[in-house]
Amino acid sequence: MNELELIQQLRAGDELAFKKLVETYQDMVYNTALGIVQNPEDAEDVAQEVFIQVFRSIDQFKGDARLSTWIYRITTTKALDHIRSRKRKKRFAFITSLFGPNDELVHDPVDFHHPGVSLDKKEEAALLFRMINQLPENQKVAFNLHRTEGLSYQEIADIMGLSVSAVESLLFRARQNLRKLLEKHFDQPGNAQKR
Amino acid sequence: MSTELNNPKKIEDVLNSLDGIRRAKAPDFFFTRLKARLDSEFDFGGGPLGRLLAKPALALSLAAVVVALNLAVIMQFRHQEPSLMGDYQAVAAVDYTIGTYPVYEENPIEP
Repeated sequence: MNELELIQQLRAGDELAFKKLVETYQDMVYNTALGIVQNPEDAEDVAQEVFIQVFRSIDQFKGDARLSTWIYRITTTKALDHIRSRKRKKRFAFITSLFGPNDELVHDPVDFHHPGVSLDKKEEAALLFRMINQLPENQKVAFNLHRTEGLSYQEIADIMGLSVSAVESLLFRARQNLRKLLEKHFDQPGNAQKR
Repeated sequence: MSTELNNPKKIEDVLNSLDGIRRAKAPDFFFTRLKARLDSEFDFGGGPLGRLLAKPALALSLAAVVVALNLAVIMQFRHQEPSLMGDYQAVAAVDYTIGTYPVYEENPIEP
């Protein structure tokens, strides 16, 4: 079944076509979401929402881009929405905690370990993901698409609706910002690498 | 001193730590859980009409039309009520010769 046939069958509401779609793209969607939300349970939630959105909106897919491009676009949007929603809940929880009986500290989240990173790089990767979390949204998305999905500048440009030079600039600034964040991290006592 | 010399290398190591990363696989039974969620929201067996009505924009538009029609009927009914009451008053006034003027009006209107 080629892409066009798959889309036609999805529009007809064919359940087998939908299963084929999910099987084809589930790892792509899950991995993309995971890099952005940095939590396996949240990434699965986002991935489900993506496929539900694809199911609802397949009639609106114009076919001017590849299906994978469209699905990437939905995934990054849903993942960013999820992060914003999480931040709102944290803010609200902090406010309610001011008036609650228990003065609970807001703890930092546990370090995220991506399952696809080799063992010898796990700690460095966890630190990098913590810094990626502090990047502006566009830089975060571009960096994840490039590094965890291995997409080219052109592919990222198609997904984000930007020019290739804009993507180059985003990735350059992302790397610069990550470098600054890491310098600040290692300058703190206790974090520096000692010989 | 040694920490300052080591930092640039450490930073590069961290920045390059995603080299060779493999794509994470979706959890087991992902499709099963997705299907269960979809089935609770949509009905694959509903046919074209079911799928059409499942579209939120269409469902909300239809609901808005139903509410608007109901409001229109209610408003029309409320608008008609005073004239009906006026008719009833006029009929009652004729039947029972009830004057509509105060008792001590100078130029009373005779029924």
